[in-house]
Amino acid sequence: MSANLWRVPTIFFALIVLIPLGVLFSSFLTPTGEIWTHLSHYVLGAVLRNTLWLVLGVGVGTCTLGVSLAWLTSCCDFPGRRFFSWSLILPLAIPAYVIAFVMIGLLDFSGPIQTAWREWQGASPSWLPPIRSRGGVIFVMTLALYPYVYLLSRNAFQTQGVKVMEAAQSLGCSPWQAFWRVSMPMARPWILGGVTLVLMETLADFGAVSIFNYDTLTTAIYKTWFGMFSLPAAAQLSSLLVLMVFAIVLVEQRLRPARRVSDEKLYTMKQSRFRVEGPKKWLCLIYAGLVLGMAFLMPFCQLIYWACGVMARDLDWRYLGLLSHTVLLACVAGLLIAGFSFVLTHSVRRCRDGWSKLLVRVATLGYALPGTVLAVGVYMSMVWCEKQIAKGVESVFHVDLPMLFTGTIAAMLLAYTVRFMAVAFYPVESAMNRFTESMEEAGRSLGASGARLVRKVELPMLREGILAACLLVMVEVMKEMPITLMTRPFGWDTLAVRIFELTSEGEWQRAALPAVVMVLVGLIPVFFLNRPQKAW
Amino acid sequence: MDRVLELNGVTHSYGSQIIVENLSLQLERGDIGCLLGPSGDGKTTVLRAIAGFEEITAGEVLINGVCVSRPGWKMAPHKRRIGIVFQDHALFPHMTVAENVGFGLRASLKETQKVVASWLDAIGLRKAEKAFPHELSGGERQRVAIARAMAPKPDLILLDEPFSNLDIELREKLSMQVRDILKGHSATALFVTHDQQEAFAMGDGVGILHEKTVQQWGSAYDLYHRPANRFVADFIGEGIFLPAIVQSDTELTMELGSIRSAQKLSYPRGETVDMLLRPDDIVHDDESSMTAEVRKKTFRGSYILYTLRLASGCEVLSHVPSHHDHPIGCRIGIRLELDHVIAFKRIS
Repeated sequence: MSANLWRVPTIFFALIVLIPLGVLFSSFLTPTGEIWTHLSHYVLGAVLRNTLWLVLGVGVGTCTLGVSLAWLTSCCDFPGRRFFSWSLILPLAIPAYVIAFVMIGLLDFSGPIQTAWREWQGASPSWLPPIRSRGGVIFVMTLALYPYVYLLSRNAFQTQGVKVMEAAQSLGCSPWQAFWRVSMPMARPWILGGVTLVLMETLADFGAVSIFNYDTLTTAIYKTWFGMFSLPAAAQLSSLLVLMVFAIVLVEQRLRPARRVSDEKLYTMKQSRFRVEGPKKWLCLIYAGLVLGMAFLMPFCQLIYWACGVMARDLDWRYLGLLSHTVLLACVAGLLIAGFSFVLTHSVRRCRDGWSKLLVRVATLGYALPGTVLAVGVYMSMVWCEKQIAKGVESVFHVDLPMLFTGTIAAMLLAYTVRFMAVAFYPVESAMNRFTESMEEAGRSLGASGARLVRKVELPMLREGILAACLLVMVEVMKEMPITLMTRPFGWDTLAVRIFELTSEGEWQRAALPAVVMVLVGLIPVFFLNRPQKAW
Repeated sequence: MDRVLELNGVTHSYGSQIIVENLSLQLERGDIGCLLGPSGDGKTTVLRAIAGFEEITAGEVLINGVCVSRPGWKMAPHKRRIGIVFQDHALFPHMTVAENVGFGLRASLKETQKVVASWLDAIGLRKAEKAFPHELSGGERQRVAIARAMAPKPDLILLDEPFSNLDIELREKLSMQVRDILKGHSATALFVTHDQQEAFAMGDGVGILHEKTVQQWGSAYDLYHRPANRFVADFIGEGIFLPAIVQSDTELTMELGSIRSAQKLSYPRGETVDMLLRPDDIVHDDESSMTAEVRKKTFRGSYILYTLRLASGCEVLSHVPSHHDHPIGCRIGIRLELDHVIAFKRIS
């Protein structure tokens, strides 16, 4: 195939991101009249205020937790440091909506803690702030999302090496001054990157905020579509959300200085960490332990406890149906999107130029788009396409065409492809980087070309990357809530949908059973992350 | 004189592994000392112990007569007033050249700017003051690292293989520049290297570090002509050991003739010893009756290094002016011209 033909897949994958976005923004052309007036009068103000507070609170919270923990575990020495260094990532395995309902179940009025206190003291504990509040949402989302900041800043602190810290000390800085004057400024690009990820996740979050009944843009989009049945108004809200995401990305790009990784040789001598002495070292241990306990151990144990309680009653054929739906969907999506990512990397390889780079950036942009937004955008573009096809068919054959794609698995898979292309693309691309141009040329000079080269050299070399891509997409799809909820065919319930239904009725105990599966599945990519020497 | 640095019987161990053992050395004010040794022999550890990044398990480290390290206690690195030039420079990547140089200064902004400017002039990088480290060449980074370490006027400068990342030509030029800068500020410095030429060019005194301790401390001349032990004799310069028999306490005989020693020998009469022959101890002389066969030759510009086989089959080295170009296999006349007798107990 010529280079020009290889551009077709790249353009296709960029288009499926661009078309839904275009559809969303063009929704402002459709008058929505009363509904929009209602929204802007009664809903929008509160929703925007809530969203902004959430973004601000979670941003500050994750930054504080993530950076301080990363610094403690990579630059200081205290009891349990090695254990915390890897285990503090574990909360990534628990979706925010799971921590959310566990915390409410635990800390709410009818939860075990308040009940026990009432039995003992006779009154509700006044020291415990109400969990169903703005502070509560921020608290829960901070616990769920801090690992992003932790992971990136840990990476920064570990790669900047001890030499610069020693240089700063030899120039008269105490370890504490050296941290503020050298370590922190050097880590800033990474920290900013982590916080940006967190903010995008916060804006995209649907599950946790809906469990808290805390109205943000994502829940407003859902309610407008499924409550007021106004798709255009939902699209208008979605485009607002997209604008906020883009604003955050833009701010990050403006603020971020280039990540300067020194080209100096990696320092091989044992990292000389600051030894924390005396009572301070126990404080470090308590701090790290408290975060890990609240963000992972406690929710996880509580889930298992609840799940055991309801297992006998809930674990029936219906539950197996749920499980098989979920696994089937995840497998199909994983294979499909991993395959797509191979096609994308391969076609970028065939025609390497500025255009391809831009198209790839667009094609992997979907990860920044909240699921609710994509659900609306993809659904609307499909409806539009079908209308056009139906019109054409009718004018030629004079028959009415049934709905082809909307409300089918195909629509769902398309939305997943847009959202998770980036997840699959990066592992495959980093594997592709190992398949160098000179290897390709060597293969050609030895007479292998075209399909033979792909089969004999390229695919075997990419195998691990493609497998990883497939696995990561499967995990993401299983945990995914809003797209599944909003675009699934009738009756196609998955575990995430079941959790949404149960938690909206306050059935925390019964929601624990599917949530345990969710967490166990979520642990898989965390172990990938803890494996050293991986680009992602 | 003023003693800036003193190490008395310093030992450092890492777990059960001893890296440095019973090491002592002194530096007077204005001296440039050098620790020379094969790679991986604990040279860097000695510097890190002096700087306060490593603890010592025995002995003591004194700076200006004040103890800064002893077993179980060490003064924090940032209180020691020691400047360090790291092997990989360790410049702060997020700061400009000027910010790097001014980092350790604790003065008013104006004063800092003045000091930084004068240092940038001294290292010839005034124009690059706003550049970031990754925009500089290796040699430029090296100079910034030195200016940064010296700007706060530390009591002592430590240089850890400062030229090892540079190419050979640059190394020689830069080592002279660095020596001039250090001497110009009458700085006291200790640097470590595995390169003999560099050590001899830079150091007023050179210590040979081997097997966890200093084998010999002295001038380049002493180390070459009066090595204290077999390791130093072998490590410094080229040479070959030939057996010799002690005839009296000032005379030895060997295949190339008999030799008188200026100082008394400490070996009993009749004992066979190993005598060190440097390439410059054997002179090519067409008149000489003694001949040797050319086995190998290496052209080195002004001279040729010949490997010659004697009648006994022993091989010796000889520096011969390069216009004496003899083919391999040819026999040439040689003569012994030895000033310093260096002999060690024979090892078979």
